[in-house]
Amino acid sequence: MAFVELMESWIPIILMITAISFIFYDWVGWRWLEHWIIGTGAGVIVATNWRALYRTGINPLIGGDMLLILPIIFGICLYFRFIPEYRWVARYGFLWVIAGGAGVTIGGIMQGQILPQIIQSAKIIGPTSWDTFNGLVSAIIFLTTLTYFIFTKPHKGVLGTSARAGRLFMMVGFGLGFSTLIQTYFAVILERVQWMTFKILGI
Amino acid sequence: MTSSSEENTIWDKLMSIPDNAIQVVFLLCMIVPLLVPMTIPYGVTPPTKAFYDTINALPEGSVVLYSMQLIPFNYGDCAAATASIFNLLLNAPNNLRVILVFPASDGPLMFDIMSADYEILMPEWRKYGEDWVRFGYYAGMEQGFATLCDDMKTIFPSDYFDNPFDDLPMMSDIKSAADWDLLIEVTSYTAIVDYEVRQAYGRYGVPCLFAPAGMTVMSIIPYYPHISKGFVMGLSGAAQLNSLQGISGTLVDLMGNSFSFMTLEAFILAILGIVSGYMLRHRRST
Amino acid sequence: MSVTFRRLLPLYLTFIVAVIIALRSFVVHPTLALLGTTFLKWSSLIRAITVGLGFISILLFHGPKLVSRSNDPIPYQWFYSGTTLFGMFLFALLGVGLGVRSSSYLWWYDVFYRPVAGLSTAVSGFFALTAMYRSFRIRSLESLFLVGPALLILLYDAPIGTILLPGIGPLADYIFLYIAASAFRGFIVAASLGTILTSMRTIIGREKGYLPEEA
Repeated sequence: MAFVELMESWIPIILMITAISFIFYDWVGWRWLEHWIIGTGAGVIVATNWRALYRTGINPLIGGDMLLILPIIFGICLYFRFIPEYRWVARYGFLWVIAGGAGVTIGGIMQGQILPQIIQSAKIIGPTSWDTFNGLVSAIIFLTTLTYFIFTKPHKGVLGTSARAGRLFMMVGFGLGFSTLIQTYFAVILERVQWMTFKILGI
Repeated sequence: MTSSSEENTIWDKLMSIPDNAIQVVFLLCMIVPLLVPMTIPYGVTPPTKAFYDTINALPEGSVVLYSMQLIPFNYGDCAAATASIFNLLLNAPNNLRVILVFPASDGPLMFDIMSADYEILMPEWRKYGEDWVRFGYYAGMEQGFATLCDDMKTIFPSDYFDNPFDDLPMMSDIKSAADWDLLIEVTSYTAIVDYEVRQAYGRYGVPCLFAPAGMTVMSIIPYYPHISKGFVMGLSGAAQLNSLQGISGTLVDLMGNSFSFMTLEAFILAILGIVSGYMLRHRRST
Repeated sequence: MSVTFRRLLPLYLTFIVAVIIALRSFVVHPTLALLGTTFLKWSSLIRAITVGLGFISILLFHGPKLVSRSNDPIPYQWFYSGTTLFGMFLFALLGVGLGVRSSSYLWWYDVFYRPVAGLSTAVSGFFALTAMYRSFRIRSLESLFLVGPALLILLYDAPIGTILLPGIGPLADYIFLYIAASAFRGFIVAASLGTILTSMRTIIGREKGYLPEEA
């Protein structure tokens, strides 16, 4: 058991130091680690999806829901893409993924993503004059951003000014996005360094 | 031609600091606050307060679907928020009924790791199957979630522990998204936010609350406050939520201190870089 | 086999399945709802099965390199390929054999994969730090609008930021909750309209890129 506890501490530490060493030098250990992560990640995905498939498809099929044989057959069709002469059979598998994605997206996009945004942006009048001012600012920013995506007319004159303003406002958002992205990276590194520090120091 | 003295101004020296030195200082900014106790007070932002108030304002016995996209990449940013929100749901005075699902295949494993790393305050009166239920990973992203919204039993014939769906007392009157009162999502993936808004809010009108990792916050900002009345952003949001719940002195606070110094270093470096760049450009142009 | 089976039938099926799934959101009918939910379940099951495609693709890519002791594109590539395949088979077989819910599998996951799975990507945070130092420059209005709020939020999000500069809290809130939110609402509406168009093109068969090419 002591050996297992040693493994639990030192294998992650060695792997993490190898990962962090990349910031100083691109070396054999880092390349090995990259390949290790890809392989193990693929293995984890296969194992967890097998469990989901078994729970949702195979177990009910064994339990009597014979209709589930159809999606399993369609799913097996996907693997024909590796056989050049019968690659067209894979289309019968892919169509379910694509049709499901397209159909399910259209089902909720209007009520979920388009109309609520338009309604929220149209709420200009507020209980106080400050709220009304903010509502007006929001509406103007919303409209100018939309005009940026009009590609059927050249961005000249009023449209051009509006599109440029929209682009500037979107740049604000992208700047915030970059800032928050690197904060995510910082948090991930911090959590690992914290774990490693506490393990090494025995805290 | 410039003289050698002009090439040796403070701005040239700043620009010639090696990257490794910056990174070593960065590592120190991470490690030192973890070891040196300090109390850095912080305020609670309006979205975090709104998140907290929304949960506490739910009627007694409301059903909350708590979806967690915990993966190794976002663990550092999302795990603290996951634990904090779970504690809030379990201990809220309105006796919420909580359903756990995972849109990422690693989710159930990372949830177990999170439960070991962060303290989960499970009240004694809560009984599994009657007050809270843990389902597992649902495959298929939006298609899987849409199926979950339409008929939960179809996608989860059994829970994570292989208890049949019909044997769970809590699920006797919860069959679809029409029976949910709130959806909470912890995620670092934009697509999950979008498809949950489309399916849960768009088709069933289920109110949503999001706890995005920092990199995903711009994806949920457009939905605030009309779809998502509040949000908890990453590690700092978790610390704020803990403070609202009266939880202090935890690992989250320690990490929050380090996080402060890390972002402070990044801010100072960026300002120095901008000023140095301007001064060097100004010198070259004159 | 005829063109009907190879090309037309998949397109017709795509149309039928997608329309049924989409219609179930707009037309309240029990048969339609049942069909739509059934097709969606099949779609999510098939998505779970597609994971095997990745498994086989990795095998087909790295297997020959290992067998032929290839040094292409980097020296000792065969060793790295062997590492990838070993890790993949190890975790797949352990997961299927032990069960992904078992504490043993969790141990393997927590010791050999999870410590570095996120860190390998997040080390780019170190490079982002030095990139901010060396490349953040304000030379135009666009860069001011990009860099300025980025720095403001960087300080605001850290607990210490609002202590050092108390005024940034309300300003940062305003930028976040009004300016950026409104801009991204427009972005989402535009992107959503594009999504609807692409989905419609797929449903009516104008978009065929998803169909695997014939040999």
